[in-house]
Amino acid sequence: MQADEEDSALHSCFDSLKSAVMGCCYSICHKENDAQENTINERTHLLEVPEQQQETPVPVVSASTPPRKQDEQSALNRILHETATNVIDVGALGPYALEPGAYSERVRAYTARVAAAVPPPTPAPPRLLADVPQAERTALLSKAGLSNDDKDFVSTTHTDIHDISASGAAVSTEFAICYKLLITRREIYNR
Amino acid sequence: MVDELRKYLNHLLEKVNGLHCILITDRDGVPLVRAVTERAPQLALRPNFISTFGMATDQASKLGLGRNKTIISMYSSYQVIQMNKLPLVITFIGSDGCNTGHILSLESQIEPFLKDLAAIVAETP
Repeated sequence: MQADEEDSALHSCFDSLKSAVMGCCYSICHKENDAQENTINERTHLLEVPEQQQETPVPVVSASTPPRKQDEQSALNRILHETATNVIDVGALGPYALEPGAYSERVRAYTARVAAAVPPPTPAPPRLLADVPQAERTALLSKAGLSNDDKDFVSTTHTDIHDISASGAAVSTEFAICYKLLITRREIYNR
Repeated sequence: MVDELRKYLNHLLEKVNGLHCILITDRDGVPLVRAVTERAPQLALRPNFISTFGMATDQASKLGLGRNKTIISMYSSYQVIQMNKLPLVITFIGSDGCNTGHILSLESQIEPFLKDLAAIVAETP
């Protein structure tokens, strides 16, 4: 009984191996001009890979060896140069001073060129509170001013708030202002 | 151009309390334009002091944190702020109590002039 079970397990194992090998052979022997090429099956690529990428790169075999040596040398030189550039060598930073003659000559050249250059427009200083443009400002200022009613309203409200805040010790100033504004707003709406 | 630029730099100097000088130099410390007050330390205006920044910024750029843009050095009585605008270097020297943030904010106000100055340095052999 146990031997039968082992046999069946072996058979199934061989079957799966066979199908895998056959699939492999199929993919190797698969031709581009196959009739079933365009049909979608389990072996169809999910992602389309360009033809050039599918081919494995073939190393170029050159007839002579010197060019390869030269390539290696240039690659090594490049690596050496990159490494030298990336190394932080503080010890190598010796004192550096321009020679007095070269210094004064360069100062002279810079002075002459800077004097001859055309200056760019000076940047406007940054402003926190930018004014409105002139046209808009003129339009706003030419409008009619506050009406007499509004002026009376402002002055009476101001004196009322002052009275409340001066007399009511138990009432905070903020509360008095809010209260008064509420009352006046209601009066305006009821008008 | 040099007079306008110097006047503008002097105007910036007046705006920041405790700022002693603004220098625009090449990487060897050769000045193109400078605005200096009498409180500026003369030793720090020398090219061999300023040119150390060129090497320091190159090395600091290799630390894996990207390109180094500004180095701020605090001393007992002074602070030196140097900005990498290669081929130009901008150096600000101020008192130790000067507002560093205020000095750094001047960068954007000097920036419009730098293109022309960098071209002059590039053209000069």
